Amino acid sequence: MKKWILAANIIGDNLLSNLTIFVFAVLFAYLLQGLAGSYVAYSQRLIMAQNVQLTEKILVHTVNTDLLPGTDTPEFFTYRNNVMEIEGVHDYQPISTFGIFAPIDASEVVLRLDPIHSDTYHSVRYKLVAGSWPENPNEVVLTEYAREYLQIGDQIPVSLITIDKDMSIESADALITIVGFVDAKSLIFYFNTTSNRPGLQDVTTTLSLLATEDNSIENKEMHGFIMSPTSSNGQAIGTSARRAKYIVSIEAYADLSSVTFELENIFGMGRVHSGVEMIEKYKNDHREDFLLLVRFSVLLLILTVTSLFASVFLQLSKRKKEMATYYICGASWRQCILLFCGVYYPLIFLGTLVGSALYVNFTNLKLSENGRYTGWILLLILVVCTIQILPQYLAAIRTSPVEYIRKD
Amino acid sequence: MIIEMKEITKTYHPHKDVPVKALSGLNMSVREGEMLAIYGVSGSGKSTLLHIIGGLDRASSGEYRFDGIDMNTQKDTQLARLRNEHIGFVLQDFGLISHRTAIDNVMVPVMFSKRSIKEGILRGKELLNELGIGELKNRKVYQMSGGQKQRVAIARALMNQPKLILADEPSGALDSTTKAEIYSIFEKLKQEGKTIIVVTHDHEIETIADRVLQIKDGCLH
Repeated sequence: MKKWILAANIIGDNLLSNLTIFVFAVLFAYLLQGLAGSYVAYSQRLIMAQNVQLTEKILVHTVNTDLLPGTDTPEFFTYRNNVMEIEGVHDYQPISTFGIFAPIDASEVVLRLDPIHSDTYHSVRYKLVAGSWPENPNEVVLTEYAREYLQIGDQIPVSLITIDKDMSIESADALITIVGFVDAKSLIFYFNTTSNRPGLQDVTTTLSLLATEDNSIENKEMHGFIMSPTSSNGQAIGTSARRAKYIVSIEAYADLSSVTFELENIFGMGRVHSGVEMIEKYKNDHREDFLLLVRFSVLLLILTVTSLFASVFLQLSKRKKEMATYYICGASWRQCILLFCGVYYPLIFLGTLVGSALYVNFTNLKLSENGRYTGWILLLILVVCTIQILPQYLAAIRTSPVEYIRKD
Repeated sequence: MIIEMKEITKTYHPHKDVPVKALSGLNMSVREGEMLAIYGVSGSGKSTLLHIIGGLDRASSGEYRFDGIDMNTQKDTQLARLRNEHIGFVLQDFGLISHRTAIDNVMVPVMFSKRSIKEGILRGKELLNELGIGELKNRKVYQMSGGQKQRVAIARALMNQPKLILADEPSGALDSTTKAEIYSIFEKLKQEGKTIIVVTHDHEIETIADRVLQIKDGCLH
């Protein structure tokens, strides 16, 4: 206890330099948390693009046309033959678009359902975690998040809400049946852009990512697929207006630019985007952001380490007489040095935790998600600091305190 | 005997290839309650001797027993405890922490001892009062005169009621009036039965010392 009081006094003597080191450590940890988090999210999307072999795919959107009243909607099947006749095209499929909103009656939960057709069934890449795939009208599979609210066999009255090509909302009562749950990490495509130059950021490839982006759990919004949506009076519910995004897979030997050109002839300019082009745009959009974060992080690391080095150096050189006084009065030499230099590790440790906690707090992340980054940041900063402090500490330990007493 | 030294040598290596012998085959013994003065010119080895006696430094060879304890075999932490509990130091430049108050300085040995802070504060105030600077207890050391600083240093040395007081040129930085006052304090401590060793080049200490030795070229004469 007494030694802690003494240590507190010594910390108080160097309040400004200690505070500087602490603040730099906080800022460094904060920035590095941001950098690590952003980089992981950035990399995950690139990895997903690689997993779905996006470089061999071309995305087509016709949503601009769809949403203009009076314009004809280019239906999937209308162009199927034309697209498949292009040299090098392997496959042509609609992309999941979540065309139906289905609020569950008497609850706050909303289902976003993507209708699947028997022809396009195989384009769904969900992995079932429970139950079976839908086979009959109004059978539904949902992401595993929904298990908190629903279970297999539940028959739920919902309102199936669609937006048609004239932008008018249509609603029909229906009874849906939950037949299964799927892994939210399974791959799907969700292409959400009206841009003439979309990037990878406009493609969502897992339901879990989509849920994160839409914050769906908190909104009690669940995702899933429905087979042949049909209203209670037996009328099929059309969703053609929302089904206007397609993915074209090409053969390995195919010339990407010539396939793109042919597709533009069919769908129009600005609506055909190759995966390669989208990945490149995504990288370009993020490169500068990362470089900026990296530069600031390096700058802060240098400032932290420089302040630390200066502080330790000053302690060991300017306060040696005080250290010798403690030695004379009954402290061991190691104890004396630790009294003056022992504060820095706890200070940096605390600074890193505070910086990480602030980042987590300001970005509304879960601590568990950034916990491992905090560990790595701590390890990095402690290793760098040790490299700075250790030689000085060892030199001081090897110096006889009598030398300090003599010289002074 | 509180101190017994046999064939003590101390060699420094300020430059790797040039050893400097500070003490060479020194023998000495000191009785409990004795006041011993050791004279010597600069570089004679008197401070080195004092550092070894006080457990601040170790002898290169020889045998040294303090109160029956073999000092050569003590670990650093054991030496630190011995310094804290049994030895008080008074140095020429006072060895005080100048930006702290008198009472803070006097309390330093308490911070490394088993004594409680409350008990230490009471004892510290008592010592400062006895030494005539009780009213300066909250004054920073840098605001004090040389005599006042040396009194604070003596109070600190006495804080843990040590068996031995070691003084290295205690009057070196003082004027003659203050020096006389400090010597009278040492005389009083001697009368109280403290063992005191003073190394100095000031011959006035002879008037109060029980025994006077001279150190020359690392040997006592």
